[in-house]
Amino acid sequence: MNTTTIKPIITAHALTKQYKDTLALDSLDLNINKGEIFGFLGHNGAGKTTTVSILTTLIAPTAGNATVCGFDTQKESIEVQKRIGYLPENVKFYDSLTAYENLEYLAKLSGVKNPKEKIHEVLVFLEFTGIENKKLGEFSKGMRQRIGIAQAILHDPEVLFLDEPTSGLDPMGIKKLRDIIIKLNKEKGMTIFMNTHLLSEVAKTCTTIGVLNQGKLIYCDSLAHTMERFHDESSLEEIYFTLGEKH
Amino acid sequence: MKNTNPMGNTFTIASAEIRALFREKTMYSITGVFLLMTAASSFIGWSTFTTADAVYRASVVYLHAQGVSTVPENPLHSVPALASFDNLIVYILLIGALLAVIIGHRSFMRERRSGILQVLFVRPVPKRSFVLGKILGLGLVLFSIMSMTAIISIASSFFLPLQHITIGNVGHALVFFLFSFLYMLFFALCGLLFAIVSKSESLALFIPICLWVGITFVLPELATGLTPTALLNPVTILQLPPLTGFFSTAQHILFPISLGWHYTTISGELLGSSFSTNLSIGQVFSGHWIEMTTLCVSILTLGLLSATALRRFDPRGDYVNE
Repeated sequence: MNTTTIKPIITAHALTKQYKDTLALDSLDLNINKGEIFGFLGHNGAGKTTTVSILTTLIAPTAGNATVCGFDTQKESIEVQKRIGYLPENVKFYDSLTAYENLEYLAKLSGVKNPKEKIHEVLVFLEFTGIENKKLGEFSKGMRQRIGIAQAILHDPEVLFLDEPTSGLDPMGIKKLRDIIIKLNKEKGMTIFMNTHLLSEVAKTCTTIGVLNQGKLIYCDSLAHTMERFHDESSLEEIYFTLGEKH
Repeated sequence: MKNTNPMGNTFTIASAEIRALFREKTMYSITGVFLLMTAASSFIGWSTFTTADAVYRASVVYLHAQGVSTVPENPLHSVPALASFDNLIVYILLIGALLAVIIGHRSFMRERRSGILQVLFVRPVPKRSFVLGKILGLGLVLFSIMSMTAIISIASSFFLPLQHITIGNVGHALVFFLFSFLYMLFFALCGLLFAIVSKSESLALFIPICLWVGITFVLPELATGLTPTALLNPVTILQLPPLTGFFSTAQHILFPISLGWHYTTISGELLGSSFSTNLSIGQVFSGHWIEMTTLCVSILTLGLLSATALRRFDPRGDYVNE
């Protein structure tokens, strides 16, 4: 990976977030290149969701700055929002509306010119047709997650942020989601930023990993390099624990 | 593909707001009660007039039978043409304003409850467009409720005996409904603002209801030196109680913001039911321009505060507590 010639699509410089007495992010520096599937690892409370929240413009950092697609997440938030999709952990919708009504509303807000056509195209891409007229209240967790992906990619974003996307899914749901993520990356060229706890999923899906510990980035490299570097470790899980112990 | 149009977004949010509000059972229940009371008010007005007229006619027949040749004129002739609308002032002050608080409250609380805000707020929609869309949607819903009220009331007033409703009267009535719409919009925006800033759902409803109680009952009491008979009733009392030092001071400070009192007074003058009858619409508003300015500035301030509060709103993990 030649990082010197490719301009990063996501950057964070000395990104810091303080919540009253808690330092959630401590001078995070991060560069992610276009086309990567970035797996962001860390235990609960490490600051992963805070990082994604800043990168998706939902909250402001206490110090430092971040850019997505070359735009500052605070000063040019609308430009960033035009270029990103976001699937929050436990994604929620209007349960009283149908899947189509939910997606149509969100598509219009994203500036999609022909929502009906686009919704159909996205649902076909996700192999999830025939559910348009069902109310979201009737959907299982896995189905909601796929509608969550659909709403995130309706406007063909350049970067897709996924926060714990496999949380609460059964093994079949996890596999389906993994296939979708790889398909989005390969076929649509989307850069994917994924917060996750599942190390096995990182090994099967991601091209680069970052490990966050108590608000600090303690490791960031390609998955291939990581495997080479920690050649004596038998699994990614052991690498993760080894890194955690070192810090 | 990624073209974003601020006004387009505002209309999209407004139309979603209208659709969502008209699907809510609470909204239907309260609107239904309000419209039923409007219809009941019209019926009571018709019934009162018909009964009074029947009593007068029977009295005339009786007096003639007793040999009295000169009988007094039917007192219904001196009743203002829009007198049957008086009850509406009280209904709007009480139920209408409360309905508006609930509509405004649910407008944003629906999104907080559903947890969809994280998905909404990463859309390329400025927060001011979001608030503007909400206000536009709320405004259109309130406007449609007031339009239905106006149609019921005006239509029924044509059936009142001895009441000759003129085009001028209809004009006054329409301005009264527009003014009532503005008054209700103020309360809807109170509901919206506190739904954004409050940590819990119960608090978000409790605070605007306290405001409603204060504006409807407490402020007029303090600002008018305790004239409780005139509080809800648009009839101007002839003899004011003497002002003590406290009430004199309170009157100076609180009178300009005593919106409930101003609503009652201005509405009474518009409908010609107060003692200062037969004022033109222009005369009514020119006589109350400070009060009208206060109401309009309050509405604008609430809108701006809502936009500011929304900009600072953190939607992550915002699952409101009952």
